[in-house]
Amino acid sequence: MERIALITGGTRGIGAEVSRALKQAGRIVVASYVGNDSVAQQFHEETGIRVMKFDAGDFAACERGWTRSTKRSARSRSS
Amino acid sequence: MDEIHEAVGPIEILVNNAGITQDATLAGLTRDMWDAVIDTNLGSCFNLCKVTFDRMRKRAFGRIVNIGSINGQTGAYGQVNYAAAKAGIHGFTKALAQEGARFGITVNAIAPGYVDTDMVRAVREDVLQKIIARIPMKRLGVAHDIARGVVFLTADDADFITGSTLSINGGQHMY
Repeated sequence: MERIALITGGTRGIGAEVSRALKQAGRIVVASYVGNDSVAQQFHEETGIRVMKFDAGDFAACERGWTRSTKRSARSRSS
Repeated sequence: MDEIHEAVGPIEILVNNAGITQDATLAGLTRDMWDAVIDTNLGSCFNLCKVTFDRMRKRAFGRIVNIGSINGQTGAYGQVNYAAAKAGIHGFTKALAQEGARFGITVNAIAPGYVDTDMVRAVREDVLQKIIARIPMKRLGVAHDIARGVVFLTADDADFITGSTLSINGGQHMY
């Protein structure tokens, strides 16, 4: 079923594989990352998975990030 | 938030995976190293659950998987901060599972063992070989070993599984 999944630290290591596997399972995946833009961009290009940059350890950033992730999903779904 | 909810619906599956290590024995562990690891590994779990839980509750559906660690179960030399954060993940999971159950929200943890990622490859080679020798499966895990556990726990029909910890560690720690 089409459900939105957010994976923090989702562009590298275990998180990247979790993102891929959930996409494979039919989920709409958003992968957050905090620092490494080039790895995140490469991950996005390889997988088509949406990436977004925010610090999951920062509460205010999470509040903003959550809003942004769903807005991006909205654009993706309507296109 | 309401406008976004109308447009697409909320995050229904949350995987709290973000994690770092800053290892040192207590003598060398600074307050900053403590805070960084607690904030990233455990604080992030609170933060994202806090901003997504209410929407899950209103929709009567949610799947939360928190990535803990074998080292949160056993402790590890030079990882007071990391072991505390990961043990915190496991307590957090069991507490929030009790709150979410009546709303169709499941909250589970996965406790990976040693998985072949940059984080583990940063461990000194001789130390890593000793670790592998203690794993009954005699190998490091691969990321997909963990990912398939997440897919299982976040399935729509995994609705009777909550508050559990799935250890995926090649048999390195059992209880």
